Amino acid sequence: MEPLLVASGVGHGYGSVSVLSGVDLEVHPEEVVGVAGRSGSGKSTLLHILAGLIVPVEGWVNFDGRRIDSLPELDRALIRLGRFGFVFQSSGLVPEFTALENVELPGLLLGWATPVARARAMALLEELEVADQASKRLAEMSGGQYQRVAVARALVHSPDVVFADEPTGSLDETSADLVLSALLESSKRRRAAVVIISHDREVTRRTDTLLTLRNGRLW
Amino acid sequence: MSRLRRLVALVRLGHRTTSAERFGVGPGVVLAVGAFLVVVTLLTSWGAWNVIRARQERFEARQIEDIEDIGSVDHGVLVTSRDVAVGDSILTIVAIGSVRGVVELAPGIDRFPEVGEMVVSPAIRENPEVATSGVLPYRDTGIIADEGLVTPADLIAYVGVSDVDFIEPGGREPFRFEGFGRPYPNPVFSPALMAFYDAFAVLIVLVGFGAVIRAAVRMSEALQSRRLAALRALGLTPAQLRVVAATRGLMWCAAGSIAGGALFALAAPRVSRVPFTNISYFPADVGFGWVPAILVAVAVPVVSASISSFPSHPRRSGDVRQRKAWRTWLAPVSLLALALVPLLPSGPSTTYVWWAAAAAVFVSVGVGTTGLIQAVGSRMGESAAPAVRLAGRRLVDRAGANSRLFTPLGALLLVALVAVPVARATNADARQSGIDLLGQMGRRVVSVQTTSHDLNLFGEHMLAVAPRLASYAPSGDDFYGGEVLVMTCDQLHGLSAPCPTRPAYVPAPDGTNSTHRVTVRAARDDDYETMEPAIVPVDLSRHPIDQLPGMVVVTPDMLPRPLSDYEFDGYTVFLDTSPDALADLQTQVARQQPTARVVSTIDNDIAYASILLPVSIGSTVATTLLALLLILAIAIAVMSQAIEANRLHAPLKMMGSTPRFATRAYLWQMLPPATIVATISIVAAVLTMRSLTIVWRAPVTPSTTVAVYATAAVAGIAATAVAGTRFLHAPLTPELLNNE
Repeated sequence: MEPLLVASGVGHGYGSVSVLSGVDLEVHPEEVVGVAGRSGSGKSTLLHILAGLIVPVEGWVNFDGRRIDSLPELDRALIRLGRFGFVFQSSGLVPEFTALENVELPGLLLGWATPVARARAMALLEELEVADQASKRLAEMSGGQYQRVAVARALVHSPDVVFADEPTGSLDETSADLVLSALLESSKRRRAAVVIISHDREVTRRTDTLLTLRNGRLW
Repeated sequence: MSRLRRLVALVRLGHRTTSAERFGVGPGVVLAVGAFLVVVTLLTSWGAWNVIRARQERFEARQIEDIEDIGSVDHGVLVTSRDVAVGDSILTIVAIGSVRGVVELAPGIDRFPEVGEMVVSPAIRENPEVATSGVLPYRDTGIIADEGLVTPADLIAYVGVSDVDFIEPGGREPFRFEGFGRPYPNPVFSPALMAFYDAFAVLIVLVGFGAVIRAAVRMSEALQSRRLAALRALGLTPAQLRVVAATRGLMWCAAGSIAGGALFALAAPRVSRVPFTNISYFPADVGFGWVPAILVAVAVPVVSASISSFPSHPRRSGDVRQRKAWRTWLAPVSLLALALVPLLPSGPSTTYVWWAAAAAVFVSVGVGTTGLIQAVGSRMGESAAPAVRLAGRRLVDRAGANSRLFTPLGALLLVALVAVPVARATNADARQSGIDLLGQMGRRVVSVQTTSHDLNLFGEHMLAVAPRLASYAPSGDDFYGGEVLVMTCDQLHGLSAPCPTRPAYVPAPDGTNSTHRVTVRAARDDDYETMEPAIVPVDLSRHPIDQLPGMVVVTPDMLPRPLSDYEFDGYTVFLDTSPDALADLQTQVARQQPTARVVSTIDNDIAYASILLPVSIGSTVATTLLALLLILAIAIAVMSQAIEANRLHAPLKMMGSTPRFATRAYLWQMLPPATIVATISIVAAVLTMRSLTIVWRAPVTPSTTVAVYATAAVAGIAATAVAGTRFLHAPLTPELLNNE
């Protein structure tokens, strides 16, 4: 099977500090790829590069046969909007919106009709068992509920790849398990690949491919 | 570690953040610029006030002794003065007659000029118009020293004239004056008025200062909230964080303050003219001193550091804020109250009611506007369009930040639209000394003074009779104050005159056949608090009752009812002006009594203008400075909003929303509140001016120039807001996606 996302020779740094060097990575459709590593090893930077949030200093990133690192910001944004989903540790949702409004937002930005976007969002919230939180603002939700809403938003438009950066980092064990299950199972149902960064052994145990970043390189 | 060493460490940390941190330079420079402006403003205001007071003292020093001090013709000096127009300039000619006994010299001269001699100010020598005008056919024997001048541009000449010129009609011996140095006027402004101006000046500076520093601190917070959060995460207590923040504020403000103080120290001794005006002054009058300069330069950073040390804690985005419904109606209700004030029955309490309503309006602009913005935001928050909805939610949730941004905007508009017209109206009214600033003041006071009489008449065409008064006047008291004699028809008949068909007369001088029509504002002069002016038409024509020269004869029906209860009483009459009033007066006076002294405060009057003009200019300058400070504060606040919006939009950027979406959300967040505030401010300003016009019976009309400035300011703010969208289009910075 052809890889969906390919990174080759990726290098990056901040100022004089090199974070990544010669990183090669492939993500296949429906594959769950875990990236582990110590704090400061460059995990988040790698994820940002793969997702087209930042452009690597060296190397290239290819998504679905198209180099995204050389695309203009607007084109990368449109790829993120239509083909990717994101789950971050405790940010990434729009705090002024309710849970339902957050989940329907990608659809609205993609041009869906409001009833369609709302119906799909609601269905996903029900699937993730947070439908009762639909009308609540984020500040009124628990950490686990927040993350499940984030998962719902990441998946509502059936992306090809979901990027998750420490999605369970701020949760207790039970909540973390719920969120992780929601993320992986719902992604699998939608045939989405997942790139997940985590310290959590339970998380890394449930990945198809586990890579470790050390000294700026993947092992 | 000892407490002292810990404190030193924190201060050093603050210092390091000042000099090294990536995001600290921007807000730091803003703080420095703010401190610079404030120091310059404070020192300039202080210097301007010194100049005004010095000019008053200089003016008083050359006034002749008051008439009450004159009891003899055996000693003293014969002296009178008159103002003569030469081109666009007003030249004061002080005629000096013979001296008997010991007389206080006029300041700036070492002897009185002999007959045919003159001593002139330097500006006269440098003015070619005066030399060619022929108004000074005297031999120039000396120059008046600086202490005898109000300003370097003062056009004044002491001329020696024969005593024959002073002989009163009927051949009476003229009174002599004790000398020079009479306080004049006594006082020009009431202490309450001076206190008002002092307080106003201080308020302006403090409001501007506070707005700039607060906005700068806010921007600083927006830029470095994560950095401060990181320090807090390191274990620094809020008190320790305040030390760090205060050190930063102190460093930057000290730099700005020193620069401002240095600029003032360099400029003050060298500048003798208000830029872009014809107002000149003696630099020594600025009274620059190192002690106050150092005090200001030290006080400003300390105050700034104090403000910086208490950073605001904006609500976390996403916190649900409950809207207070009553606030929605506060501004409209207050505006309605203001609109209804002029409809209240006329009475002494009207002024207080108006002020109460005005206060409510001004408070509502601050408080009620927030409520209205939240109400609109709440509606927007239900919109189907995500960008509009997002903006609406932020308007509701971030009411404090919006208030900090838009309240100065509203204040700026109100100040721009109302303050200058009000200042002009009050300045035009503030002709009579000791009268309350905001109320019932005369329009264009004119003093007509002869060697034997000191007549204070108010108005214009009435002035035409002034020279005549000298020949009729049995004593000075009879003609003091331009009083109105309120008489019944019977009383008029008792004076062998027909009952007038006209309600009022201004007796005109012999030979005058004027058909001018003027307006009289009559009011009791013994109780200004309850004074109710009346606007009445008055025909100028010769009146048969020549026994009442100089009086405006008013029948009771002319006056408002409270005034007509008094059959005989004194009322001060204020006549509206006409463009040729001063020229008429001078012509009449010159024709009928050459030694009569005419002092007019019509626009170019040197006497009052020496005080009023600087005050007026000071008010305008202060208002302009306030406007500049507010604009700066608004611009800073707009930028800080944009910077914060960039941070808030980071999650949206991450998920792929386009810059257009962020821009739309930001503009929706900015423009509706700006429109609301501008609308409220303009409506409040119009209603305020309309009410003032009705309550004061003096026109308070918008200034075109100010309206242009206000429009430009609003356009500038809108442009700043649009420019702020550039922040939204900045590439996504990963650190913005870091967990809070």
